[in-house]
Amino acid sequence: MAETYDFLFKFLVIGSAGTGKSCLLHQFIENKFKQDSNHTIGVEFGSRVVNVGGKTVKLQIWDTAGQERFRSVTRSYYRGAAGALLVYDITSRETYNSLAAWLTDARTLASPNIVVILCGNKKDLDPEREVTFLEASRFAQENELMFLETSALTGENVEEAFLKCARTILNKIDSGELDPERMGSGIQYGDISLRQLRQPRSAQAVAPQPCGC
Amino acid sequence: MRGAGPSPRHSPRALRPDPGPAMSFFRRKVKGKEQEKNLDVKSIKASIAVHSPQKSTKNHALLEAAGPSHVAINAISANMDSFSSSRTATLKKQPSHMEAAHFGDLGRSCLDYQTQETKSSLSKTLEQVLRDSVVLPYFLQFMELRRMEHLVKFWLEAESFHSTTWSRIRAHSLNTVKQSSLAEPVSPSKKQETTASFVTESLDRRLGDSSSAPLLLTQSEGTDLSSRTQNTQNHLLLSQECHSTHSLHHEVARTGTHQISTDSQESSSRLAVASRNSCSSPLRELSEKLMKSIEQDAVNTFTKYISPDAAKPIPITEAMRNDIIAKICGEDGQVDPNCFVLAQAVVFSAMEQEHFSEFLRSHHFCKYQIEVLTSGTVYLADILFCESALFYFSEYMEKEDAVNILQFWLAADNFQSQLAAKKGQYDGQEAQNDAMILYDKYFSLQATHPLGFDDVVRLEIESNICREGGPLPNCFTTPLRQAWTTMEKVFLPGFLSSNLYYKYLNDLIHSVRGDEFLGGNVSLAAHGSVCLPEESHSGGSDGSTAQSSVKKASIKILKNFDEAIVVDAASLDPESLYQRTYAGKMSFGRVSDLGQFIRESEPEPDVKKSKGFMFSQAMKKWVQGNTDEL
Repeated sequence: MAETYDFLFKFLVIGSAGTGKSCLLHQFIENKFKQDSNHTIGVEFGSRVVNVGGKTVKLQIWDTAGQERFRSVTRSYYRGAAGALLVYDITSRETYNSLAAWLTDARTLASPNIVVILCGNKKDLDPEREVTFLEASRFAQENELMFLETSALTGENVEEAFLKCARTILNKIDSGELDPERMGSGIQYGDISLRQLRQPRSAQAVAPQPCGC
Repeated sequence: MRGAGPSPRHSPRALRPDPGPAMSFFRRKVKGKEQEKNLDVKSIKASIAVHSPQKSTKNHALLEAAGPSHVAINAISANMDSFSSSRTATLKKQPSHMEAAHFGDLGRSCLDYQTQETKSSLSKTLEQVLRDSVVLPYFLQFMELRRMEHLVKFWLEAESFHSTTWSRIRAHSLNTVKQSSLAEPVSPSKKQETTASFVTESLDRRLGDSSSAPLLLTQSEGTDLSSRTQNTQNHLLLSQECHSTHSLHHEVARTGTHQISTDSQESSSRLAVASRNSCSSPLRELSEKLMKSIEQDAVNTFTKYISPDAAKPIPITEAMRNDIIAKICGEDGQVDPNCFVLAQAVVFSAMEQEHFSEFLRSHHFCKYQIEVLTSGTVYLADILFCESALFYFSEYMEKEDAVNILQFWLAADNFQSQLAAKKGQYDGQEAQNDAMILYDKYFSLQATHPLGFDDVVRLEIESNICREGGPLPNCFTTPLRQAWTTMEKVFLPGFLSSNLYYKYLNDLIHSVRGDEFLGGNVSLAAHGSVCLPEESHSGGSDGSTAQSSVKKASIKILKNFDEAIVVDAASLDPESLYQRTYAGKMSFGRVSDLGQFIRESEPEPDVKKSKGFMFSQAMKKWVQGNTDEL
């Protein structure tokens, strides 16, 4: 595929096992629910190109295994991420109680400046809810996170979660808070700017211009 | 559109690189790029050369000083070194191995594969940094900037003390044994040779110490040792004369004591025997000299880093300090070789938790990575086990439509790593379930992401998974090795000559340049020669980036009228562009550069019909028109 983009962001999807991390990723990339869902072994990644605030951004999303036995190996892929989705299951208080540990891992291993959005998944199972919106919203405020409740089944707020995270990163780049060219920022420039970085200005002038005929 | 020009794309089933002009073309290309990179970072190498000699002596000691606790580590290092040196040979053998489809050497292949595993020069743990003579100077620089270099120096000095002390204690024990057996009818030349070799060995090890005080002590001690060796020879002759004066009963009693006593009692009894035997006084003095040097080294380290009066004391508790004092000034008068081990662990933990993460994000580590990447040889292991390089490589594999190979390798490698970490204490059923997920995804005849492994491999995997007691940590080693070889032979050369790799290096250089300017005048002066070439290079990149951003903004505004309206409120430039566009729309047509009349009012009735195709066509016309005007 020959996609062109302005930026490439590295994202993480982290959280306890069974909260729907892989389904969120699948819903975002394929725009449909992933029915036959096995648990993730180690890490997987997918990507999608989105338009955020006029910029074309490709998101390289690393989906991690939530099982405790894979935690030590998946940690090594945290470094150099620009953003993270921190996922819990609104029908499982245990997954909500583990959020602080996952957040500490992300900020320690990836970067203290990583942009994190808290996702309360399985919003469609509201009758079985064990964590209130208000409670999670307070946790997000206390830890300086963005917060959305999502449903990988219905697709509600799934795309919004990724876009919100990407938009925040773009704002940080514009304000100078984030340096895209720094190693470990989790950001790459796209092919357009890369091509112009590569060639001197005189070569650009020689490039064929669109003909009016 | 492909990023780096055409590159061979082989079906995973083939798993063999195409020998011919394509491969030789890539080989030449890679060499050219490596030479280019070497020129860019010539000044960096110059600064590196300044630092390396200072640390080489100490690291030499660390490598040479082999205490009992490091025997296993040295054995592993030796094996890894031999495997690394044979890596090229192994890689050359693998294609024919795959063609033959034999797995008779699976055991050795596993070892070869495991050697590659977790060994990236670009990604280091703290312990690896402390034992690597290339990256250690960068870590010391980093810690000096934070005024914490004494932690590193203490750890290195304590490590050296620990190793050399064990060596000296072994030499001391051998001398004690020799003293107690002087009266025995043994060959004098053999014993003398043994003692001399150990004295020489101990002397060589201590010469490696970078501390000045031990060095002076060692020099004077060397003189004494050489003269005492001659005296020992004379006394050995005398011991034969003394032998005739000993009674048989005395010899039997001494033998009995030797068999029954423990180590400490043995030492004390030997000392008692030595004190009664005037013939062995020179050896006893030699032993005392060794023990005194151990004590002096311990006191020096204590005074420098642990004493409350030290210029830069390490952060340990009073209880730990008292414990160290007790171990140095023990009741038996001997220094415990492990007296600093606990303090070492505390300092190691402090460095790891408070400083090491920052080091990995610092420009010092970026400099080290640049050195590795421009050293002329970059291995696949350097990319796959370094998460920042993997970020670029995974994007490259995606562009080459080969992301499934990398995905499989990552998942299977993680599976094997977590299983191996449990050392056999794992749930076989759980491991089998995990393995079946990978099998269903990549190997099954109904696989969702088939990679094209042949039936032989699939049957082997099935057999490994269904093993009694669950799969072993090496159950995917064969396909892992094949995936590894495919990535190494087919995709790594293309990646190393791709735009993404160039971007990776550019980010590293940019990080170094940015941090150094922020570092202040002192840091800037220290690296003055390094900054200039990088500055000019990065400056050009920044200029190009700014220009490209402006152009992209213009294009975006022209392409999207809604966006133009939004931007119009914020800036004057888009407003003028918008007005020009609007003005252009007022005319019935215009004359292009080639003199052809273009009627711009013609599409207007079609646009009203709201057909997507026509709308897109009209948009393109507007864009082209305005682009010409620009």
